[in-house]
Amino acid sequence: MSNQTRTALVTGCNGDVGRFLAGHLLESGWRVLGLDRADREPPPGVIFERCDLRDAAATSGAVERLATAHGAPDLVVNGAGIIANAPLVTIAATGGWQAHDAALWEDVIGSGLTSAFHVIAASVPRMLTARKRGVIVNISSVCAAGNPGQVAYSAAKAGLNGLTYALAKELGPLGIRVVGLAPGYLDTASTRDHVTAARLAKVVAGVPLRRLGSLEDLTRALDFIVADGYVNGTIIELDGGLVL
Amino acid sequence: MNRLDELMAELFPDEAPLPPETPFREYETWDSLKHVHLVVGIESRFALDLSADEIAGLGSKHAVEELLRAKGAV
Repeated sequence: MSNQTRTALVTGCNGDVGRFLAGHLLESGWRVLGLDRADREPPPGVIFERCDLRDAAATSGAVERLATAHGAPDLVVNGAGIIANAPLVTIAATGGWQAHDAALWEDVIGSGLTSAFHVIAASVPRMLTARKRGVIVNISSVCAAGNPGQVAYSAAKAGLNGLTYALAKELGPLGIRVVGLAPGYLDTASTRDHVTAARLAKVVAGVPLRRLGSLEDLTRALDFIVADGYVNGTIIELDGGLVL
Repeated sequence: MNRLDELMAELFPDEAPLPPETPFREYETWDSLKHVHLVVGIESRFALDLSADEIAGLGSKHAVEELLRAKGAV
């Protein structure tokens, strides 16, 4: 796919991963549209609209405005999501059992899974109307296999994988590919905020390549997915061989 | 190795044991999930049904040993 005048829509573009991916696409000549609910400044050069992607109507409106003004996307990167370190049950300070916070569950699923559904549902009609072939890349995680202590995050990513498989079959005949990209532990500020140094050291020891993934690893994989016209309906695990 | 030491070794397989009075939170890999496993591990290995107050007091290996002695479990 030539990227001359091509348009990419990146969600979660204010976070570590989304920001890097958006910057990479800009450097590669794409027009980049960005959506995020976070208060952080969007990456320079991104045509940005702040939006709570958990809200179907708000997301539909934002995608409509961006696509009308700047063109339907050729590439959609669903990078929005939040990590939550929370087991199903914990022990409260008073010594009793404490169940996973329901609002946190809703937020993690809404931010990481429902948001992708809303963005795709809003984008695909525009892509079809514009007679565009394209690709949707869902940023998943190896945690989809089930990471203890991250029950909501694991469920959100597993759901994202299911969304990827189903939509690849639905949209493939229409000329739109859907692919998942599932990093292991990436060397980002977010990772270091959520994983202790001791845990990270153990993770690195368990990676056959003996290092965390880099954001450059991620962009190389994204470039491959975009460039290759036949990869579809699969989850590319980018984890150095790590098995959780 | 006694039953409590076995449980500690399972909870912290990659860390050298800290002095018994050291709070569990000082272990580098301590987290809320290990706290759950600690409590369930104590109850199952020593056939105890701990109250919320007793669980709240289990902040170190020494505290666990004291509780086990008080309940006649060791």
